Amino acid sequence: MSSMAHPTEGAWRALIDGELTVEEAAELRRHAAACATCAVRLSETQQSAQATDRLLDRLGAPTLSLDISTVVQSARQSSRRRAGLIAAGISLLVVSVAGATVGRPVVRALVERVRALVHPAAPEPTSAPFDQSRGVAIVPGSETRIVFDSVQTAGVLRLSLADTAELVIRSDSQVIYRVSDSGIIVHNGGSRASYDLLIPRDARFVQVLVGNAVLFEKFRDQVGTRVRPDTAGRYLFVP
Amino acid sequence: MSEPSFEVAFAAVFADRSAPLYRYLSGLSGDPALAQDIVQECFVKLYQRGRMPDDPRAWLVTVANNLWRDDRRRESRRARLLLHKSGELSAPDEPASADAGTLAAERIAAVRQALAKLPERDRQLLLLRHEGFAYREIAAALNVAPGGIGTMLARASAAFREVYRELDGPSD
Repeated sequence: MSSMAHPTEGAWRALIDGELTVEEAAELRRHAAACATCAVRLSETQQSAQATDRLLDRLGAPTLSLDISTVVQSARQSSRRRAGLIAAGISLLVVSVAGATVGRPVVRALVERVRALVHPAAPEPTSAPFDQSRGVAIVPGSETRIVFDSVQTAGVLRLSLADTAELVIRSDSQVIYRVSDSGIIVHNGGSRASYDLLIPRDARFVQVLVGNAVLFEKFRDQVGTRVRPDTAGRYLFVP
Repeated sequence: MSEPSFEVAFAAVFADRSAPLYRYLSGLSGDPALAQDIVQECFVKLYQRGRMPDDPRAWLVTVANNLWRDDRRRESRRARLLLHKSGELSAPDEPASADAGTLAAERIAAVRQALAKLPERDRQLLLLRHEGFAYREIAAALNVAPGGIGTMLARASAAFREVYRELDGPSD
């Protein structure tokens, strides 16, 4: 009989499954060759493993009908949804701070933005009448465009860098707006509205367009516009 | 989102591991549709990771087992609600009906019944090994020490054969 102690049933099973090193396997085989008790044990373990495999073979080998492109597509869609949720969460945090200063309309605008982010495939929010005494939040820190879709023929646009983000419209006619992932579109067809725009100082990129012309652009700390700021730091645009 | 080398590695792992993972989960759940859903979710998670884990095979089967466990919990909650509502619930080890009444179908059903009577960990052990998973992969998936896998497998095999004999007479 081999000098080693009788190996455990786990060791025999590991030998059968090829889980031992060459040296370990050789030592076990030498022991089994010299020890009748363990030779029987090895044989029984082997029979048990083979019988189990035969039984499990009866379950067959069902074929997977899953294409790698389906997986990749699903992963990308899921990532986009997750990114949307994260962005929505950040937006909530940022604008809820702003909401404390500018009031309920900010929250209303945010809700629309969050809705768009969480359900990117859903139809875009429909245009809503703008309450001229209230503001719309502009989410800072990301790329934001404020687009006035018509050329102004009346009213003024005052633009300031501030610690908060807000768009306030003063108008004697109805103005409607739409919040999208890329910013705010203001349907200024009435042309009699005036606007106060507060652009957050820490916004990375903000662009203001009126009738497809870039009126103001901020990229990090640089501001690009044709007008000079007044003593209060406001940029005043008069048609 | 991911580098080309990751895409290549991902495709290779998918080609190599999706089918064994699916067969394992099919055997475990008895539900091919659920098995496919879990396999898909595993690979979605791997893709979203954007880089390969140190041991992708062990990682995949560990994630698969976690998803399976989560599904079982959900099912268990549903079953409890159903029981509460209707006052009755089928016994979990109720013999599955042989779909065609053939001897082969009865034998498959007997194997499934025998598996169902084992503790879940034994079932997982046997099915993982049957699909060629290495001890270190099985250990990772079941959160046990690799050194104990041989013993656990030997005992699970013996228990499985014993249960099967009781259900179906002597095995071959």
